[in-house]
This record gives sequence, structure tokens and C-alpha cells, in this order.
Amino acid sequence: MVPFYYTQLTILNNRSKALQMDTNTNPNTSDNLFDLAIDDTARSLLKTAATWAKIVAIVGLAGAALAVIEAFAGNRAAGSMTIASSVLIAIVTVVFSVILNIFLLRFASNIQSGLSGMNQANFNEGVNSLALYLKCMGIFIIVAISLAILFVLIFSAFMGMR
Amino acid sequence: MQNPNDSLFALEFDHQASAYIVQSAKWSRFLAILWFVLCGLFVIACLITIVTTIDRQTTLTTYDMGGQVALGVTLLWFIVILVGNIFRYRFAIRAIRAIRDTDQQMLVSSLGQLRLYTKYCGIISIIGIVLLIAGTIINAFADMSAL
Repeated sequence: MVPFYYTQLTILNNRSKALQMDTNTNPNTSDNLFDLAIDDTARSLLKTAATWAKIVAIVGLAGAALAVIEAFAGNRAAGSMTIASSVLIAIVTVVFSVILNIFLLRFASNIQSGLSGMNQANFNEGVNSLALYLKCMGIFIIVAISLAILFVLIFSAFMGMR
Repeated sequence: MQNPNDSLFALEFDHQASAYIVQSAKWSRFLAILWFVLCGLFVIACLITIVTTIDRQTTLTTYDMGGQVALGVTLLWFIVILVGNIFRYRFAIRAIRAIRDTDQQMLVSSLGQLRLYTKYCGIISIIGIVLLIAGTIINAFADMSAL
């Protein structure tokens, strides 16, 4: 049977190894002295950026709501196929727009609360939301361009067959 | 006057925030370059269309006014997007440099570009929504008068 003190010693040894590994792989964990600070100028710039980002997000969400209304209550004189395709395009666009604008709104809210309450966690969450917003936008644009290229290829192949 | 205790409790771009801002900057740079390429391609397409239209005008003596207006509006839209992407690109480049070199001035400069970008987007989106609302109202009136 393994003695109790031996088990405790092993746990302590493992913990110190893990701590050492973390320090080796992540040298910036404790270098607070060398971090970039949010000085008064940076704070003012970030505050303005967050305010405008909030405006952009709110306007974007309102625009998405308007687009939905227009798609459903829009051109009734057009054929059912045209209405269906315009509603489908509007729904897809609105879903993308809502996802993006929620990230933007989270960026603005978290940065504002982080700056006003000097809360590092909120601030980090805000910067993370900005990263997610830009990442999603990039992915959506890549998907859109790929679909456009695919559509052109299919269309040109179809035209070639006729 | 700066509070002497500020440095103790001040916010900072710690390891986590720096990683997020670098990620943001990389995606920003990618998006900006993508838009620059698309704008370049669009300008080439515009030039081809204009040359073809001039050719057709001399032979057929017809003037495609609707097409010209649509081309003009699309060109304007691309210019608006291009200007926004210049701010975005500058933010990205400066943010990456600031984090890499731990350069406080560069960080402030990059945040300035981010502020310009969001302000520009805000103004453009306000103009856009006003035009969208105006268009919806005009369409509704046109539908009502058609009935």
C-alpha cells in the first residue's frame, strides 16, 4: 500500500511540473509590467469606437427587421417563385446580419462596461467579441464568394449544355 | 491630473486581450485585402462595360440610361466600402505591430483607426437606413396608388 505522504508528494510534484510547463510555454503569464496599458487617450478612443459600434449594431438590427417586413409585405404582383426566392434571400441575409450585429453589440457593451467599471474580464470579453465578429464576417464572405463562384460555374455549364 | 493609483488598477492589454486583438487584426487585414481585390476586379469590369457601351453607342446610337445609373450607384457603393476598408487595414497593421513590438504609441494609433472605422460605418449605416426607410415608404405609396 502506498503511504499517504507519498501520494501528497506526487501530487505536489505534478503541480510544480505543470506550473513550470505553463511558464515555459506561456512566458507572458506574469509579465504585467510589460503589457500595453489602456491610457487616457486609448480609453477615450475605445469609448468612442464602442459608442459608434453600438449605433452600427442597432441600425443593422433595425435594417434586418425592415428587410424582413419588406420581403414579406413587398411586391405582391410578382410571381410566387420570385416572392419565395426573395423571401429566402432576405431570411438568409437577416440571419447573417443578426449574428454579426449581436457580436458587435456585445463588443460595444462589454468594452463600455469594462472601461467604466475598470473590469478587465469585461474588457477582454469585449475584445473577444470583436474578434468573433470579424471572424464570422470573414467566414460569411468566404462562403458567399464560394457560392457565387459555384453558381457561375453551374450556370455556365448549363448554358454550355444547351 | 492622473491618479497615482491608476497604474495599479488600470486596464491593460494582457496576454488574453492581446491574443484577441491580434486575432481581430488578422481577420481585419484579410477582409480589407479581400475587399481591395474585389474593388480592383470591379473597376476592371466597369472599364470593360464602359468601353463596350461606348462601342455600342457609336454603332446603334442608343443610350442605356438605366444601366449607366446602376453602374454609377454600384461604383459609388464600392468606393464607400473601399474607404472603410482603408481604415480597417490601417487598424489591423498597426495593432499587429503594436502587440509585436509592445509599442504603446502604435496601439493608440491603431485604436484611433478603429474609432474612425466604426464612426465611418455608423454614418454610412445611418444614411443607409434612412434611404431604406424612404424607399419602403415610396414603394408603399406607389403600391397604394397602383391599387
